[in-house]
Amino acid sequence: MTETTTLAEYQLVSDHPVLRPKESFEGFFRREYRAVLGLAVVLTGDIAAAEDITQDAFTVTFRDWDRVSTLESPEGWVRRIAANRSVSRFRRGVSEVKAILKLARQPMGLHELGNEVSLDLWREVRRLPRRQSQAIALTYLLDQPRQQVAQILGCSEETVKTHLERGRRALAQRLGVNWREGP
Amino acid sequence: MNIDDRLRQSSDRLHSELEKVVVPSPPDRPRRHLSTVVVSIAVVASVVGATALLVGGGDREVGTATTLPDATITSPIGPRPFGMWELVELDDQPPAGPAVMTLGVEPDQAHVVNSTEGSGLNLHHMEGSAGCNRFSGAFGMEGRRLTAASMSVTLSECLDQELRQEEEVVFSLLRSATWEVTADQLILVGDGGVVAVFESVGTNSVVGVWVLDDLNGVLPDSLATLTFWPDSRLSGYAGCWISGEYETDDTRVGVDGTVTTPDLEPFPPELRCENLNALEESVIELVDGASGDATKDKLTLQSGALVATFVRAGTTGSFAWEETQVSPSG
Repeated sequence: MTETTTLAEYQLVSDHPVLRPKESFEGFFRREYRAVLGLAVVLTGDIAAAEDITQDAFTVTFRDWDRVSTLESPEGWVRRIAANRSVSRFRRGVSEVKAILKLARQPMGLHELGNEVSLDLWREVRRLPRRQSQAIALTYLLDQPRQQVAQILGCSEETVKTHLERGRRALAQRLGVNWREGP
Repeated sequence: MNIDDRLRQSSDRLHSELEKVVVPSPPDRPRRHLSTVVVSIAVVASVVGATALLVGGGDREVGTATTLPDATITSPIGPRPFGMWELVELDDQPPAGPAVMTLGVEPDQAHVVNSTEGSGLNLHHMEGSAGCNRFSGAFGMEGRRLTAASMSVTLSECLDQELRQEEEVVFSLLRSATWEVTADQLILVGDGGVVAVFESVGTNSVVGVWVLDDLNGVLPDSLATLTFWPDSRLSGYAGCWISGEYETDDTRVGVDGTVTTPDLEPFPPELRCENLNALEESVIELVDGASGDATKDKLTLQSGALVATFVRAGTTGSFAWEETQVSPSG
């Protein structure tokens, strides 16, 4: 594969397929579903839309599972799709409408999550610039190291550090709590 | 308690709640048959249908997709009207004017009509020349029905009254019509029974609408399109709008495109070329001077170390085109 300066940041794809047992899509789906859903929930603030975005992300992954399963981090790939779709106002709007249509047909059964995401803290996270909100959600909710966040967001670790720092400062100020050096 | 503690505490609580979530069943892996690849790809693109597959194994009537016994996915909707078309017949008559009426239908160009109210979002874009006027519009698809949410038309005066009337009929059709795509034709049927027949343009050249399928071996995680118009104009979308020109000599093609979305309010941030992802940045870099080859279904462009493969929209393509219609705001 040819690499470029731009694509060097796009590190989800390794130059060589990873030599490890190929996981079934079903196993991957079951293992990763909750994490992706959680990411979408905190970034959208809407459970039904988050569920829809999660399903979208897995659908895209499912379609190319032969290739995605050889990536160094298939998890990063599906999280990347969900993170990008969750912060896109356009995508989110579409997902929200689809979610409304779905809600009319089936109960969601996730009311506890609804209470959680309505907390001021995550609402304030969603008000941050989208890269900052993504970096914070991936770092704190999914406990991803900075290197992995950089891979998922397609940027450098320094950029992630900047997004995190700015995001945390803004949050601390808005919520009236102390700020100190974080991850 | 500092901001780190708050974030970790809230994350822990959310994890506890997520543990209670029942993970839905994933689908069985579909077998893609060559003969049904167009349809199957299009259906995987149908998010509502795919939702049914992911959540309910495809046996619920929540979308347009069904799972056949052999797990091949198919769609009752069939091919989408994406591509480049020209009018060949209007109400059983050939077009009146000497100019060819062209229609380009591009998938998912992220036109936002009224995003602040959460309505008027539209998934696709159409643009074309209608003899003396040019038009463009955002539209959604609801089953086989096109529903335009916004349509802008230039106001050139047509000296030819017959051509002007023809334009108005077609504009009316584009605002609301049911569509059918056959092998090489797009047929629009208006509520009043008016029928317009368009034929596919440029299936043996680069002219047409192309969707990014691969960039240096990387799968696209967002939609990027390029449209090659018959008059050598280039347009596209990769996180923001692209426009430019191209040259072609049979199958060889050279492009010269640049970003054109104004970096100004009131354009929403996602259309202002801010925070582009790496793939979108690469596509924008690519179209600034790339060259390559086009075949019937595949366009390869290269610029420096960037190599991208596009597939012709409407014939095949792998990006998940979302079909759910969002009602226009008015």
